[in-house]
Amino acid sequence: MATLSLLVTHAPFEQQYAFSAYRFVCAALNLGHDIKGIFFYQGGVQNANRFQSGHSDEFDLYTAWVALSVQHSIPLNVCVTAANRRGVINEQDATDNSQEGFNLADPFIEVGLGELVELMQISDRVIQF
Amino acid sequence: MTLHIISSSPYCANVIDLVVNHCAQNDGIILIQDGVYGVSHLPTLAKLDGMYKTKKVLCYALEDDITARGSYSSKDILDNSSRFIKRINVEDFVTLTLSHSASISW
Amino acid sequence: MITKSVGIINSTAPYGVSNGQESLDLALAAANFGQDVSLFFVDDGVFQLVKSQQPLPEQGKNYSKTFPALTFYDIDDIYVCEQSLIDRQLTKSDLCIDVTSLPHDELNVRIALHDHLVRF
Repeated sequence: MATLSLLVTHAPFEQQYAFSAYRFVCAALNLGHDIKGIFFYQGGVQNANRFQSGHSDEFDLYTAWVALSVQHSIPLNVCVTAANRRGVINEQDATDNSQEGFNLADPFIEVGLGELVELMQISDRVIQF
Repeated sequence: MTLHIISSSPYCANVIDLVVNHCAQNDGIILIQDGVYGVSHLPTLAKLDGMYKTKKVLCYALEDDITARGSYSSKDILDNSSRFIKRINVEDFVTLTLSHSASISW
Repeated sequence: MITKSVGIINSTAPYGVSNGQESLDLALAAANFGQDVSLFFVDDGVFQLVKSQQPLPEQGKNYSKTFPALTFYDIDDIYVCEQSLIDRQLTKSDLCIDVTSLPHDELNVRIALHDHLVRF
């Protein structure tokens, strides 16, 4: 059994990367590996936007990430700087900046880039999508 | 031993040349997403074949990503490429990342 | 704890995409957390190092100004692909910092020394 983490740097829907990352995580879990965490950076922070609402006949990646995180206790780390730059904010950010709504909520959590460094330290491999 | 992950189509991005430059002895290459169009792109095939012969670089392609894109290719080319491009599933992909020391997503 | 090393590969030009800026953010964070970090500039990534960049604010931040300060963050392992410079008619004197330029084979050996590799 190995320890793995993923770095997701692309937004969902427009490009396949985030979906590939999800399938990779599922496959790794099937093989019995330990997923230490998923880190969303650059456009990848859009994965954490809970306002995503696709058509009912399309794969719902947001819900899939949430289920995966809850079921396997996998942290869904979102770079706070990258997220705020792209309009992905949590409740605290919304309050601090007098915004009416927030679109980042548990189990996605805002973290600094240090969290990615931490994941690198505790993971045998980090795979970027 | 680095695993090079190629995800863009060889018809619109010249990623294969970059990867060829950055391949060392016994590295691996996996084609995923639009990268799988490489399995029927003759210049890519020639380069991958060359990488195998000179640096023992093994090449893989994600079967599901090929299947998703339909059967568009001349059978001759596919049969020919299957000599040195191994079709693998996602679990095999995970295992490949572990049998290589690190991966680069190009 | 054994510190794992990270190699950050920059292969895209500045301004057109945010890759370079967000790559630099990660490099600084990694260095702040005491992680061994090396930077590699290959392919169009070498354009990030060209000196005298003068973007308007709406064209993007001139993060190349940070490169000369990398040494204060203990980021001293900075390598450039020699062939990528040649292909773009650049020489080391066109760059804003002093870097080590290496041919492909030597560069690949350096890259492969790292535990984790990320590319922007």
